[in-house]
Amino acid sequence: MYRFFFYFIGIQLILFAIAQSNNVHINIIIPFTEMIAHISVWIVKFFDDNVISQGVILQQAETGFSVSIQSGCNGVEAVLVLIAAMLAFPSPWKFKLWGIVTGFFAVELLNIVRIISLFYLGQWNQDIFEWAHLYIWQALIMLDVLIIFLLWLRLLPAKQAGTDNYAS
Amino acid sequence: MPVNSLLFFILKVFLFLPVCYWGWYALAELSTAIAVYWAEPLLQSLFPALISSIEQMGYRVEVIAEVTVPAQDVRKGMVAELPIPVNPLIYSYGLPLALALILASPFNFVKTTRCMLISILVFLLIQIWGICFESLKVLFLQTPPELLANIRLLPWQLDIIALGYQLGALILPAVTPVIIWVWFYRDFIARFAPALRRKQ
Repeated sequence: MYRFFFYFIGIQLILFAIAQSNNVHINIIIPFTEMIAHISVWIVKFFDDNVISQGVILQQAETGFSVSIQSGCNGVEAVLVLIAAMLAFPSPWKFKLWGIVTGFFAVELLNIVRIISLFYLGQWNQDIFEWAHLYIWQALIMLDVLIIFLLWLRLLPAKQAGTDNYAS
Repeated sequence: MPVNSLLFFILKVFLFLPVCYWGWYALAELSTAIAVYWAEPLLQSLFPALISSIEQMGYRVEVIAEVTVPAQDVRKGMVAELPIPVNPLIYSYGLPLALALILASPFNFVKTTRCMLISILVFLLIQIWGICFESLKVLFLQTPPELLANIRLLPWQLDIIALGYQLGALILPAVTPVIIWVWFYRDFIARFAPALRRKQ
């Protein structure tokens, strides 16, 4: 367990530093955030035609209300935590890869729900938007990461655990 | 532990979460006061000529910095102050989650109380971290350099401030509840994971 924590914190810091570097931010994080904004608009358009996206901004065309998806709102940090936990836990590489890919989509799916809910909460009540944005959704996303990790742990085969075949 | 037990645990977390948020928000002013009590001397010792004080307004704070402005803009005997608003709660939103995870886990008075106290203490430290790094970020990365004429930081020091702020705002509040819970309840988690049971 000590080794898991040591690796988890180390990998987490390395991934975070990489994600914060200018090159990665400009070439990967910002285009990815724009893609999340486009997907959110694509989903919203099923029930609301008055929504447009400009880069990382979601805008209600009628009222002009908009939300900007910034660092911390694109789910990247939560995905990095999940990746660090799965890489740090001793398990076969194919399980790590499977867990990371599945976990990525699960986290980002909930994150899109978060973005859409915040977009409408903001148009309805600014105080509730602030609370949901700053405090509640952040914790729920991390709870989502924890649940995915626990489910992944549960699906790891017991008989191979602790063998040398496990990478960490 | 079967999936049903995991579901039951998650349901308990969701039941405790609103109560924990209520308690966290009700005690927000007190936690901010404690964080300010430690953050103020820390910032003043780091930048004695720059940081004047930290003023608390409810659960929010303003870090007051004395800045340099052209003499004609300031009346004689007065100093120019730059208030930097900081919301310490954005650094401790993970505390309700940590408490809900602890309360949803098997109850043992001593262990549960100890874990809750440790969580509160850790999040106070994160709030202090957040107040310090956010105010330094505003001062050294967003304020025009001519206002800080008396202080020059090296590029690596500016990088530390930027990274410290990002770490405090994006990672620490989110990942800390998970780390605390996994650390103190690893025996409980082993029930969810056959692989972990085998290893122990």
